[in-house]
Formats: sequence, C-alpha cells, structure tokens
Amino acid sequence: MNTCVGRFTVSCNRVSDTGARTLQREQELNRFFAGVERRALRIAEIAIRDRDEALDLVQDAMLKLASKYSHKDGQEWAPLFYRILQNGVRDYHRRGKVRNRVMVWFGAAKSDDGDYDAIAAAPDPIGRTPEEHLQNDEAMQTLEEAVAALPVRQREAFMLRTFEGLDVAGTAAAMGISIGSVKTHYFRAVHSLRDSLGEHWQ
Amino acid sequence: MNEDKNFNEADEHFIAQAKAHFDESVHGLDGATQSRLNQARHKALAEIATGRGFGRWNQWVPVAGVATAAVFAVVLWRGSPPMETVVPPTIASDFELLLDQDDFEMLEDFEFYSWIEIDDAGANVG
Repeated sequence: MNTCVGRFTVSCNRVSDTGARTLQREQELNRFFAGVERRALRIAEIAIRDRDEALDLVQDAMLKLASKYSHKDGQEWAPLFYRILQNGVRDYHRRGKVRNRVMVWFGAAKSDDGDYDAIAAAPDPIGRTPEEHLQNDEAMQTLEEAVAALPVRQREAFMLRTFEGLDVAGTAAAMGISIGSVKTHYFRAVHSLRDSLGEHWQ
Repeated sequence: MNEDKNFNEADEHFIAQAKAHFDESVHGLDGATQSRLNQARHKALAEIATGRGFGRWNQWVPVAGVATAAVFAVVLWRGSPPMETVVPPTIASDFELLLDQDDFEMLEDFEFYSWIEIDDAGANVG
C-alpha cells in the first residue's frame, strides 16, 4: 500500500515537473515573440511591401516556431524564426511572380508597389514633432525602397544584420549560407545602398 | 566589435543611421497592428498546448509498436489458424435429404398440399 502511494507520488511529481517546464517554456517563448515581433513585421513589410501579408507571414513564422522548434534552446530561436520568415517572404515573391505572369497573360498586370504608401501604413507617431515625423518617414521610405530593390541575399543580410541585429553566425544560420557569404552580401548591400541613397541621405 | 570586414567610418555611420530610422518606424507602429501581433503571438503559444497533447500521444507510439510486433510474432510462431474445410454438396447428401422420413410423409400427402396451394391462390384472386 505504501509502495503504491509512493509510486503515485513520484508519478505526480514527474507530471508536475513536466507541466512546470512546459509553462516556463511558454513564458520564454512569449517573451521572445514579444521582443522580436514588431521588428520582424517591419522587416517582412519592407521585403514584400504589404503590411497585411507581412502580418500573416509573421504569424505563420510564430506558429511554426512554436509547434516545431519550441523545444530547442532559446539561443537558437532567433535564427530559426528569421529563417522561417525569410522562407515565407521568398514563397510570397514566388507566388507573386506566378500571379503577375497570369495577370500579364490576361492583360491586367498591375504593380503593387505603386499602391503602397509607407507613411499611411505606419502612422502613430511617438511624441515627435510633425517635422521630425515627416523627416524620419521620408528617410525611412527612401531607405525601404532602396532596400527592397537590393538582390534577395543582400537584402536579407542587410535587414538581419542591421535591423534585427543578428550576429554574423546567426544571420548565416537564418539565411542558410556560410559566414563568409553573409559578410560578402552585407558588405555589398551597405555599399550599394550608400551609392543609391547618396551622401545627403540621413 | 564589428564582425564585418572593410567597413570604414562612413559605412558605420550609414549603418547606425539606417538602424535608427528603422527602430523609430518600429516604435511608431499603430495600436491596431500591435493588437494583431498580440493575437498572432497568443495563437502561436496556444499551438504549444496542442503540441503538448500530441506529445502525450507520441509517448505511446513506441509501446503500441512493440505490442503490435509482439502480437504479430505470436501469430507467426503458432502458425496460421486451420482453415475450415468446406465440403461441396455431394449426391449422397441429396439422397439423404430425399430419404428422410418427414419428406416421405410429405410425398404421401402430395395431393393434399397441392390442393391447399391452389385453394390459397384462388382465395387471393377472389
């Protein structure tokens, strides 16, 4: 009898430990998402020029990370999350190319970029004067257009290194390429952007 | 500090400026967008709970596999169950039926049974 009670207690403790660990994992993941979600949204938005689609991509990336990789070490989450997100962005562009081909075939091709208004898409200033707001928005819009025009690998390297602040190894893991390639793409991206934006951009 | 090679001071300044503009645009996200991000986050976290339930099922997969293999092994070891032989009807069984005592009684009253059948058919018509 006592043995049975003892076994039951051990079993309960195990279940309780597992539940506590899972809860702790959920809290850690919640903190990770809360810390990364807004930057991820803007990065996806710059890449695809559509906020609603970018929100969907971020949500998909969150779902995939939570369902498949939540057991991984917390240090691995950022590269994994951005890898999923970048794959989503690439898929989006692939789908867009197919869609555009179909639309061209039916004679109704239309550029999405022409409808995009970054200022209208990102309102809600944070206590800046209207002039500061406008100045930053204009600079950011110019930067976004220049970044969006970069080759895919350069754009990814620039956004992950500069905007997200991933280190070279993390960026390499997120992009699925070597560290040397990340350095090369990032270097080219910075110089290409400086050339296209000019010395007066700030 | 810098992991990347060959960046001069102007490059570093440009990178810092770009980062500052980006951060400001992130902080300026509107409330509706932040709300949608919150919803997306909670939906993703709820996925873990679903995964947890699936994980419990996963624990029993090896056990179920071993049990299935054990049953299969026992069946193979004992050999296949004997097949029930189906004997086709033979002429002898037909004779057996014909020679049954009850059937002879029926044959004796054959006229009576024929009359009942004709009578029933007439009643149904009438």
